Amino acid sequence: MTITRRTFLETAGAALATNSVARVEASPVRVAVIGTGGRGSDLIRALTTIDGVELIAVCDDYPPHLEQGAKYAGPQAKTFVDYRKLLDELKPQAVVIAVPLYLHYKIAADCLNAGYEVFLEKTMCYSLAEAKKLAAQVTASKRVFQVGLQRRANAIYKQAQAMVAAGMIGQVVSIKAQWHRNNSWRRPVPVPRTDANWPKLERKLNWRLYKAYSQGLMAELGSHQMDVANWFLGTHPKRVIASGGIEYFRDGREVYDNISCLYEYELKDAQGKSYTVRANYTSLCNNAYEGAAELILGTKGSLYLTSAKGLLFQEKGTDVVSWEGNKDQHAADANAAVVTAGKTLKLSNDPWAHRGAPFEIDIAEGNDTRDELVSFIDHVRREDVKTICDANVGLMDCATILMANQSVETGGWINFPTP
Amino acid sequence: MSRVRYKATKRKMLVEYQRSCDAMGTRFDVFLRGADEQHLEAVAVAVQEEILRLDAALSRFDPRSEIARVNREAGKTAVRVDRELFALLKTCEQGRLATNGFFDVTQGGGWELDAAACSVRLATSGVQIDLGGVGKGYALDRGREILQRFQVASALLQGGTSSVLAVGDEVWPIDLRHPTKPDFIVARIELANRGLSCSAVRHAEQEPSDIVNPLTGTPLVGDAACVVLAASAAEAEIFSTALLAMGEWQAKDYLRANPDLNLDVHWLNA
Repeated sequence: MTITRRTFLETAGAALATNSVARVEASPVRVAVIGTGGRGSDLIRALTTIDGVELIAVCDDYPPHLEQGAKYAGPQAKTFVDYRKLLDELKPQAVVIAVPLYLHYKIAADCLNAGYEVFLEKTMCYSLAEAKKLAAQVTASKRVFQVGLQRRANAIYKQAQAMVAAGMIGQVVSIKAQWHRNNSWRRPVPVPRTDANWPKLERKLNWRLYKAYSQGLMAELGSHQMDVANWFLGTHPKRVIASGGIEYFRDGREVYDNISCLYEYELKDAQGKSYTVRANYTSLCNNAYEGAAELILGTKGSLYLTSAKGLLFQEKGTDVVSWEGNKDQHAADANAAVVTAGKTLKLSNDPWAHRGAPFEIDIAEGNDTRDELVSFIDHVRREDVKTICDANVGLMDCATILMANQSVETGGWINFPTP
Repeated sequence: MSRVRYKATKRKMLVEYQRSCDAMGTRFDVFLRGADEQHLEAVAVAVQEEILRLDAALSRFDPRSEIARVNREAGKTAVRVDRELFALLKTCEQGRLATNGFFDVTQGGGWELDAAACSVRLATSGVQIDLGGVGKGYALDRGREILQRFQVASALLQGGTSSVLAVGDEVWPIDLRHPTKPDFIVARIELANRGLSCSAVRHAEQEPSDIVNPLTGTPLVGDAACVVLAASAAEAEIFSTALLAMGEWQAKDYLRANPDLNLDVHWLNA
């Protein structure tokens, strides 16, 4: 299929029409934020820009983070060290949770039990058992619940998903995604290593590096990107084999500093025949080449996706013949093919030349972190439990990344867990 | 990406750590000195992440940024912004008042800042906020807060080779290159615990100037450059932009009339 501007705009319109817009009504939504570290502060700043949100409290058990969160939140927000005290005293309408992964289940479950609508940062839970329990609890509670996988709110990803669904890249044959960076993934600790408090603070601030609190790169980075694969393919993977280790940053960390995964998805074609789509995922801490991106490869084109821009490359050699024949006004016969005497068409030897010029998806207006919160607040206001990233999406994403870690541990294929 | 050198001193081994990143359409560098290399790396990355965060919020060219949202909507209605951005816009307004309008992120367009609502309203939908004359300095100042929180005693931060911040009492030598003659070093400045900003009417091969006189709306002409040292990198940037727009002679009168600004000012002329 050749993409014309018209077909593209029609797809774009379809994607944009699903955007939800928060309406400002008389009573503001009273929101509390639990966890005010780096990510929590991003969420606080975004919440303070959304009309109709009243940020009533912030909570963190680490004083420097609480102080930082309070500064971004403003003087109207009360500060709490213990979230249970916050829930008892203030009765917020909705809570936004951005705490270390191992605390997700406990705090989210307590908030649901207390009757609050919940926005929970990704990954939904530390363990599959917790994620299953939480998803069941969400369903039973009939509360608005959203997991913070913000690509679900990103206009580029929504557009790209609509393009894949409309068949614009043909049949998806493979997915390649990576999050590559070049730094130790280590947060600084505010006291010298010789200080008696260093070990405690190191584990608190660098919780991502220790297995008791963290599921490593797959949970912190891979969860975003494997959710894109699940979303675009419309299903969860069937099985995975993965390998990872600590090869470079031998600094006492327990989680891998690099991981490579091969996922298999089973799909059915138009005739009902099943076929397998393989998704390769890698994450590195010591090479930043290509950064964070997902590449969706189809029989008619490839989509290269980042949060800032999407690129569509059309496959050559099938629909479009480059040797167009005789368009030369001087030729005698319009049906004749033309050969230029003594001249061979010369192509670039640039290794990327085969891709051709991309068609750009550059429609993002607005920040996806803010947009996912706008959508959440809108759902809270309308008491609509069908959020853009509900507990089932979160559960599937959680199972998808945990099975890769399990494969690294056991050294073999791991099947998607039974429901 | 990173380079580590070991330097023996009388008392202990000091480590130097250096890291670069691309942000705000240019290059930022972080040079740190301290005792613990692993700590310095983590702090350098934290400073970089802060710079990248501010780039994402303040770039008017990125449609996803907060400032792009303000530019799209604040001509029609008052737009609620986060407290950090509001404080920065307030600083810009104070800079505008202090420089008699020669520093103006709305280029004379005008705005209304409402502290109670934490909102900004632009005078017309044609007015756009451009934080290009303060953003790099602000990012370096936020970097200094991180260095202080994590006890790095000596550091040099730079953005775009035009904004520099020295943190700590150690003296860092800075060579000033001529704006249009790249081989010519005009002066050496010793920088300690202070911000520096250099604004030039034109850079090599650039015509016309990207700096506009906000009072007249016309691009600056000539080849002048103005270097300002101030307590913070944001202040240095605000005043180097404003003084250059005033022109050397008017700027000298202005500085005589405002001695408590506590600025060091150098002029370079072709």
